Amino acid sequence: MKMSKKANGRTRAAYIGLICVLLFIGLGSVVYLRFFIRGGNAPEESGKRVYKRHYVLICEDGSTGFWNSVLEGAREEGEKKDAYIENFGEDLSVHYSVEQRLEMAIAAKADGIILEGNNSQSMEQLVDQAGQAGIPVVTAMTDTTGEGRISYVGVSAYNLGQKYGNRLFQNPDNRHILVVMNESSGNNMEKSIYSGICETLEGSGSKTYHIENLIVPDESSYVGEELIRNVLLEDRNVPDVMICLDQEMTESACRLLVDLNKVGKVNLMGYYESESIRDAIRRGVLDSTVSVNASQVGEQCVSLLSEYLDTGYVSDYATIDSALLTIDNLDEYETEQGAAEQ
Amino acid sequence: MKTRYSQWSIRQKLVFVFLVSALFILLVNMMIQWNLNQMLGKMDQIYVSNVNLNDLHSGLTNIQGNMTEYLNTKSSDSMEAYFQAENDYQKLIEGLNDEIVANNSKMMEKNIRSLSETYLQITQKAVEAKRGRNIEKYKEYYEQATSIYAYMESCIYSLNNEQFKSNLKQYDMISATMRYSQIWNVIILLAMTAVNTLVIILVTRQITAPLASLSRVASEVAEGNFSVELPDVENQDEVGAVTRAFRKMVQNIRLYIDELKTSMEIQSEMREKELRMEAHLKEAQLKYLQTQINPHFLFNTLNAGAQLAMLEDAQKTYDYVQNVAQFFRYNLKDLDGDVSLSEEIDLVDHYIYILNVRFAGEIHFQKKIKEDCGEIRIPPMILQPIVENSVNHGIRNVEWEKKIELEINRMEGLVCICIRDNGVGIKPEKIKEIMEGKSHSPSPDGDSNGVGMQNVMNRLRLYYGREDIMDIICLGENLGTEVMLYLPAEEGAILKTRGEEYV
Repeated sequence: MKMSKKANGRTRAAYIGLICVLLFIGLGSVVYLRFFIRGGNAPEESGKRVYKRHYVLICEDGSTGFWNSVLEGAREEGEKKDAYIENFGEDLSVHYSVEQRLEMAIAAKADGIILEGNNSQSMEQLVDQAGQAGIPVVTAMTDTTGEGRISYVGVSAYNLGQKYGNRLFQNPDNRHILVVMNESSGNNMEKSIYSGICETLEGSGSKTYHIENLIVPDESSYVGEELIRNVLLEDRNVPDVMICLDQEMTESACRLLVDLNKVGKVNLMGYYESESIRDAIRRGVLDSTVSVNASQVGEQCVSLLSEYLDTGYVSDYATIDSALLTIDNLDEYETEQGAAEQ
Repeated sequence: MKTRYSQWSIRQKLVFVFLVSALFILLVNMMIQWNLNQMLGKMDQIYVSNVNLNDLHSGLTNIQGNMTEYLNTKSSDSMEAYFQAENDYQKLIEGLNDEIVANNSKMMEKNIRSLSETYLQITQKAVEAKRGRNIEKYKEYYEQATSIYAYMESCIYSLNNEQFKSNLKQYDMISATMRYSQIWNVIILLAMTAVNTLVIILVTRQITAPLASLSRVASEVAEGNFSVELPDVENQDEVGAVTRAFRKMVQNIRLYIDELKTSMEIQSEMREKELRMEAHLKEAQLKYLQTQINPHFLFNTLNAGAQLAMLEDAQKTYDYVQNVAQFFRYNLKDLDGDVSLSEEIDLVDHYIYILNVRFAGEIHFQKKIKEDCGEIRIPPMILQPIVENSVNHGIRNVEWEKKIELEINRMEGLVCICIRDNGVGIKPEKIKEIMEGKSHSPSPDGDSNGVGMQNVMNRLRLYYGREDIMDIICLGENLGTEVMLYLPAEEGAILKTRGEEYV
């Protein structure tokens, strides 16, 4: 009898064990199926939300930090305005010009276009065409005229020039000034900055300054670097101050100054800010740079487009904050940026 | 469930176990198969998007080609082909995404779809302009269409590339998944096989355990151990039935053995009684024979004496000799069986007669006998030894009138025989000795036939199988002695007591 009870207990324990094993197998199988089958699915991007509007961002070089920040700011604002902002043409295997991409965007019936403009004829025509197609265009950083252009968002280039000029005054050794500009698409902004610098210098009444510009032809991305190298390698005509009005050229110039051991001999002023540019300021390679609140540009553009589509009218011009970053205010600026990001 | 299961037959249990086992395996296999099918389905779908984009590109090329051909030749075939291609293309672009979502590929699809719609509008306009012979317009539209066509080609190519990369990633992922899946499938199959084996072992053990237990018990029973603990039965299957039958059988055997033992013990006891009785009787006979002379010679002599007494008209002598002859004849009878009470009384009469001759009629013998008591069967040589005892130890030497009374009555199924004398009595210690069987037999002398009180009592106790067969009462010295015999009156009682029914 006792044996029988013991045997029954063992059998019951064995059955409980079996049930546990079966449960393990069952649950394991369910988890495994869910896991593997889900794992086998295509990685879904965070794109379940369907937006109301489709805006496109068209700029000369969307891969730069500046335009990436613009895109980020635009997308953040787009989330609020129920709009998706596409960096138009960036994913294509063929590189199209701004005009071509604008033409594509018009044909693709985008709801709005954020455009880095220029003053070319064809651009103007295309903006007209966009206007005819009912697509509003907001120009960013550089303006373009045309029927479709509804507003401009950017910094005052002339003011920027004045900021550079004022900075130049702070060092009396800055006599020979070279402004490196991009030829690309006849960018008005750089010309305006240059004018601002010139006028500030002229306005000071000092005749000791010699200012000249170096136009970098829009042939290849290495051309600018080669030209700057040549300038720095000249024995006689090396400028005291070099002002680069482009982020890429600023970074190239910083590298060249270090490579050619010209740090301290050539006073370099740059445009826009990136990690490497800030680092260059910290190391004393770069004297100063202009900081433009790029994400604010994007936000403003989206805001204006949405406002226009909702109400039918917007202000013609929106100014973006800019500042001249030097070693003195860099830490403060970074702290502010960190706080803003948080 | 448990009760139902325990009521199943072995065949049902085995079928159930194997069915459940097979069902498990089937389920697991189905699950694995389903999983594999899902995987294969996904693999099939991986490059579907690329195929679709290739179709889209072909459709686009067709439209462009047919439009160009129509614009060049204005042939109805090319126009028909254009409309056909346009129709086909319309269907193809319906499969493209048209929602605004935060997904580059999806947005590219949307752009291609929108571009396609614009492109189709322009090509239609170009075709219409050609039909309307508006050369300037159709050229303009053609250029626009060609430009958009180039963009679309680029878009389709880029999307195709992107999707190929993504699909390749997905293919790698599915491939890895398949490998994991194979390992997992093997694990599941192994686990299920182990579980199945365990289930089968458990169930078969559950089925065969009672059988093994029964076999063990049966072996012990076969070796003669009937006191083995019998297995409990809960199941209602065949083994349960066999076990129950076996239990019943063993219990019955135990009972039978117990009864047999009791019976044997009774038999043995009876046999022992008989032997002892026989021994006592033999002892009585032997003692008697020690005292007897050649009986034939004695009888012949006594008969000769009797005849002589008759010839001489000596009636008293004749009676005396006759009584003596009768007395000894009784003693010479085959005394293995029993005798009637009347025969015993006759013997007492003969004995008293002889004694009165010897002692000049001193003994006054009285009988009070119930009429229906004469045929009662009792062992032989019972009354005479008691009377002889009364004479020898009671009244022989007394000065007063010597009396002996024999009284026989029936009382509550018993025959009460009372032999009373008015002799010197008997001491209580002697009575106790006699009743406890410690009294030794008297040595035979000339006045005794050699059968003592002890012998009488032992025989009576053996014969009737009861202890309270005799009682000796003596109220005091010279107050006489009374010997009471309580004999069962019914024949059945005697037989029953002797245990004959059990033999």
